[in-house]
Amino acid sequence: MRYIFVTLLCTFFTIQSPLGFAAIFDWQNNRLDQLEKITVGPWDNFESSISVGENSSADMLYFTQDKNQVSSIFQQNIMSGEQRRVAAFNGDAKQPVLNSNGRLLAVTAFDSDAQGDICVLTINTDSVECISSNEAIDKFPFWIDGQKLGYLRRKLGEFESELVFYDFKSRQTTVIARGYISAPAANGRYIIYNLSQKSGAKRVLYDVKAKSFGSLANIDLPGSSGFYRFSKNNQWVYFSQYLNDSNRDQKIDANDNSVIFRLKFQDWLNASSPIFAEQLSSVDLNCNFPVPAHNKLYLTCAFGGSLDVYRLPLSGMVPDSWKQADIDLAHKSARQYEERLLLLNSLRYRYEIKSVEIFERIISNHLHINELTAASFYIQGLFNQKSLSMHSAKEFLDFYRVLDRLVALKRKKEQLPSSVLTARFIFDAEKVITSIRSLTISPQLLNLAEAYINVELQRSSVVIKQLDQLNFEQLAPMQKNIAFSLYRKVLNKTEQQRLLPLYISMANAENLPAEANIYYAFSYLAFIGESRFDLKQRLAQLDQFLLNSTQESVKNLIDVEKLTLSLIDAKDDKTKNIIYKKIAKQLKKNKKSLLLSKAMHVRAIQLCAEFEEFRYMEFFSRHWLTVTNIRQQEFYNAAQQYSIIVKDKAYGYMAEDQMPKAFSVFYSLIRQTNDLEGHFQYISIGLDSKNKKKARLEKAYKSLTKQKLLGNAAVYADAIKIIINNSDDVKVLDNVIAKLELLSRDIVGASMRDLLLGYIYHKKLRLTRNGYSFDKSAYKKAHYHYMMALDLGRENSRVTAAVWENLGWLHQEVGQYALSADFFTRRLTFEFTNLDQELRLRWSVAKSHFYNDQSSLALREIEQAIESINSVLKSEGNNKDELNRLIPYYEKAAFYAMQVLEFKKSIAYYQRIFSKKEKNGLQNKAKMVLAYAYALKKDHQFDLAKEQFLQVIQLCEKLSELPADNQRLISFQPKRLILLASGFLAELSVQTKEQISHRKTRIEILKGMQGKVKKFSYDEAARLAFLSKDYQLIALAYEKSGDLLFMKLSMDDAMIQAKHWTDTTGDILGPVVYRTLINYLSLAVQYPSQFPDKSNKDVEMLTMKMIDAFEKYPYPTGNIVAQQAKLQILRLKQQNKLKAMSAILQKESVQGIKQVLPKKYEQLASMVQFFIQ
Amino acid sequence: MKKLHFIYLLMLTSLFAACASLPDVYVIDRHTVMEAEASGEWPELENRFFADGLHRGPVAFKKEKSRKRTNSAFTVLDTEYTAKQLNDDRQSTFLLDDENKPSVEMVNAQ
Repeated sequence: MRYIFVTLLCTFFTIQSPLGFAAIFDWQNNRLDQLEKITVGPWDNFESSISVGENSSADMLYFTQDKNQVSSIFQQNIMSGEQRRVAAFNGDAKQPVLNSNGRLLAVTAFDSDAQGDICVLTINTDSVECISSNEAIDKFPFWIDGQKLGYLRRKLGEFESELVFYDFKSRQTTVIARGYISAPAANGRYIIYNLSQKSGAKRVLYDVKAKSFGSLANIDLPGSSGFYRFSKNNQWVYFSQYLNDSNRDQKIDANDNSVIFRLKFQDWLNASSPIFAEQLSSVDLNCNFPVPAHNKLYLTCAFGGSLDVYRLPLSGMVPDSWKQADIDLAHKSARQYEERLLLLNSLRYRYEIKSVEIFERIISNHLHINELTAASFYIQGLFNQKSLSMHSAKEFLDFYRVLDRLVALKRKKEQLPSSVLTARFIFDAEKVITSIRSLTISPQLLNLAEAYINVELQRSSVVIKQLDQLNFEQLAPMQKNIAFSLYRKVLNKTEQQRLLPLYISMANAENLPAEANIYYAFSYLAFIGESRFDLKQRLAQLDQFLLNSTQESVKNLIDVEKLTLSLIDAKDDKTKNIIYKKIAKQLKKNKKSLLLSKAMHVRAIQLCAEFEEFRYMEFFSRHWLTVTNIRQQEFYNAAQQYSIIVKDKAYGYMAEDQMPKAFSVFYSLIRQTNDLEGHFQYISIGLDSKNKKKARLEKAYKSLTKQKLLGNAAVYADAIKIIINNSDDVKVLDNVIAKLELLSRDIVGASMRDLLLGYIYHKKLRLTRNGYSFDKSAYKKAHYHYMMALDLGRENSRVTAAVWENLGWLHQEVGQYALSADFFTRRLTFEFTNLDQELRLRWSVAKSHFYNDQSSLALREIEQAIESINSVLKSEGNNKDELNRLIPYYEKAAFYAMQVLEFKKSIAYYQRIFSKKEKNGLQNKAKMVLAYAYALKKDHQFDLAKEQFLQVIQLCEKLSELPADNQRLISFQPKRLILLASGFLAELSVQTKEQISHRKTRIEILKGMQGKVKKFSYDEAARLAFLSKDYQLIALAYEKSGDLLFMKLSMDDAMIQAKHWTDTTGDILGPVVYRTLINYLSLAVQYPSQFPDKSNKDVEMLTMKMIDAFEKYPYPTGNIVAQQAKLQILRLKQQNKLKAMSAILQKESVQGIKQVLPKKYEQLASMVQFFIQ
Repeated sequence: MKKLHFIYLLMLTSLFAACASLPDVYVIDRHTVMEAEASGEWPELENRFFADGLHRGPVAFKKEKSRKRTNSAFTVLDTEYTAKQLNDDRQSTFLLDDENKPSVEMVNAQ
């Protein structure tokens, strides 16, 4: 029955979709302009400058990229996103600024001066000229005109800066001004900058032509301004405004959140009093460094994880075309206080609204988001309004005077650590109370003010008493709002029920605006929803509410709530449908009030979600969409909520494997919103042969095309069909890329476009990869599009999760393991749709952690995977196949446990694998036995370890080499395993004969590697070092067994390999040759008869060379001096020059190490003493 | 590959530098060496993960997880409080023309 109903509805919407309106009205873009992302993280990209090409495909963005504290200048083609480092600057560089024709790029460079130099790159020739000296800190370059560059210079040891001009024609530098100067900018004729003085900051205007200084009017905004930039036509000055102390460091400066504003330059020149500016970005976006280009405003914003360059229309986020009524409507549809502030400021600027009321509204919004500095500023601004006399009722003025003091006090509280009260703050609070008492204000207001201060002083019981004494009826609207919020703060959980009558009172208060009544009624409904009332109790509460209700709109809202609860409570579909019709009627009746309509629909939807009435939840959602006027900005919000609910429904069907139903719902989503996500899922389900929907899919797209409902989404739909059918042909991929890249991002679900492009480039990377070499361009583009998808889909968890995983894979495949682990870890913060997905993610992140030297994290992930498998096995019963599934995870757990030195755990995991007696392949067995043996050895189980190492050798004798490929980046060489096992066996052998035998096996393998070391993943130096070492260890074994002749011969062999090592590496002081020489000479002085002087010419030659190299060492450390002395002493002993040995100890340099390396000195001294005796 | 070579060199450096007299016992305990030799290979599993892990579309979560997204759609903001005549405000919450309203409504569908 339900299914038929849904199908009927879908059919209905197929016939009459509101999307038809989209063809005549672009509702998708009938909202605030959104920031368009230009650069992508994960590194910080900021401080941009634009070079405009002959056509838009040649527009270049120059910006600073900060990667691991290293700043570099980057260039990016704005259209293609292709990016490269500007290699002309060798060291760190930042603050790139292009001149007006885009041919010269000035930067602050740190290549030859760590303090910063001003350097200029000629773009065409790639030549760099630095124009400032090394004796000062030079920064903030800015172009005055095509030939003159300005910058700030601060001489070392001085505090004040100089504003300097550099003329490229005359090569002359001129100091224009001196002082605490910041934020200089120029437009050819004028320079403006900030000058900080004891009396406060001011803006200075310098007339380049007249060479005269003047002051500019203050800007009528809270906080401080910076980073001025002139528009291309010089009509506007764009700047950053730090409105609030957002980082709570007790000062408003460039470290706080910033907002972009602009003002007309001529108006500023003419202004004699503070001038108001137009707000262009929202407070919550934290944007800075505005750079107006010809058509767009480029800016750096800090949200979404990294600093990045974005762009907006020159007129900012509020569309230039919007009339006052549009802004009003957008304000009513706003979902954030920050958005409201932006719109109110636009109204103020564009329509010169200076009423007291608008100030009050701005103050209200700032207080709602706790922006106290701004609130204080506007309270002061309100007092300065000429129109204030209209409102100059004493009560009105008294309230804002009191509020001003309360906000100032709260600002002080904000600077204290949470829950900490200092004596100073208590003193300040008492002072404020005294000051308020000195005003002749009403007892009500005084009581409220004292309650407010007592909340800050954490005196809850006093606050409740004071609030209870208030007569709510007599309080002004904002006072009521404050009183209620104080109650909410101090009533603890057990007393929360006391809020119920207060909510009812606020929702019905006659002297509150109707929208406040609705807000409180809505909050009341949410409150009782959270208060553990069951459905019946809730209905009783609502009846109680209605008894006390006088407001028609509020009664209607409560009625809808009651009806919705009755619908949920109804036992059969028929009753539910009857109730639904009643609700729909009520909703329709109230559709003209945006706020009431929204509140009613939201409550109905939320209740249905809470009680899992998903069918009706979708009905209410669809109803909201259909009763909202498509020409109002609210329609976008209604479409958003509809999209969320319909997608949840469709994905719910997918999770239950009800693909036909999911298919229908996604089709409904396409028809209603043309969302690319709907297209993706609809096509994916339709093309999956097991769903048998191919014919339906084709028919649907024909119909959508015929009705012209697809628009640009057709490009995406075609692309996804091709990719699903054939994604292994690079030519096909290139064709799809070419089409998709032309698809504008101005479309619902645009993140899907970039996710698909990232995927295609990623696929290309995989298809064209050859061992370690890969297509770097495909890698960069895949990363770029994934990051764009992340930005565009940042509020879509499904897209975000897909992108995080893809990024994890992408960076793992190119060896960027730290980044890969980071991306995979982000993905792990979301849920898993099935066990296989969880295992895949944990396995992959563990691999990246391991390669990033974080084996403990790798072990944690694998053990979590094992736990998840075990819990499934527990619930489903242990069958053999499932148990075998554990083996790779046991192996990884054993291996990672070994890496973090948890040998017992490692042994236990290996033993579990071996106990399964599963055939995992000889090669895997050999590897596992080697690791197991190693763990046993480290756990001091020597006999068992020896047994296992011998088994490794036996297994390896049956194995052949396996070449490297894209998965196995290092070839498998059984001989390498034998080499290792023999080394360990030599260590574990007690008998010298056995030790020598194992070492000889190693030497044989190492000798066999000559000329083909790469095949064995070695290099020649390593091979020679191992050989030298093995020979020396054999020599020691011979010494132990008394075979002194063989000992000498082995040391000679070791010396030959050490000499080869020196010849190969060119390193005369390297550890291999040094240690071999020391060992050789040590044995020589111990057994002089075996080592007659000058019997080994290599030793003679290398010793002399090494001593000479030590002598010439530029800055010898204590260790170098000690090494040299040791070598000289041994050499002199061999030559029997005893006096000279003592003289070595007396050398100034050797005496010098007495203090810094006393133990080393003692060793040398005792050695000399021993030899002399 | 370079990394592996580097590790070998590093290993040797630390090994030799640590010796103060005759050579010490020879120990290999660098994890990268062991990784190349002693880490099991599970190509079937890894190839499957490799292919399945790459998404061309969204992950099919049953519910939207982004609180910001759902909050943004369903938020009702507190009022802007002013001292202006309340009656005006009461009027202004009730909007506007009925022109261009969508013709399709859920109620009609029933």
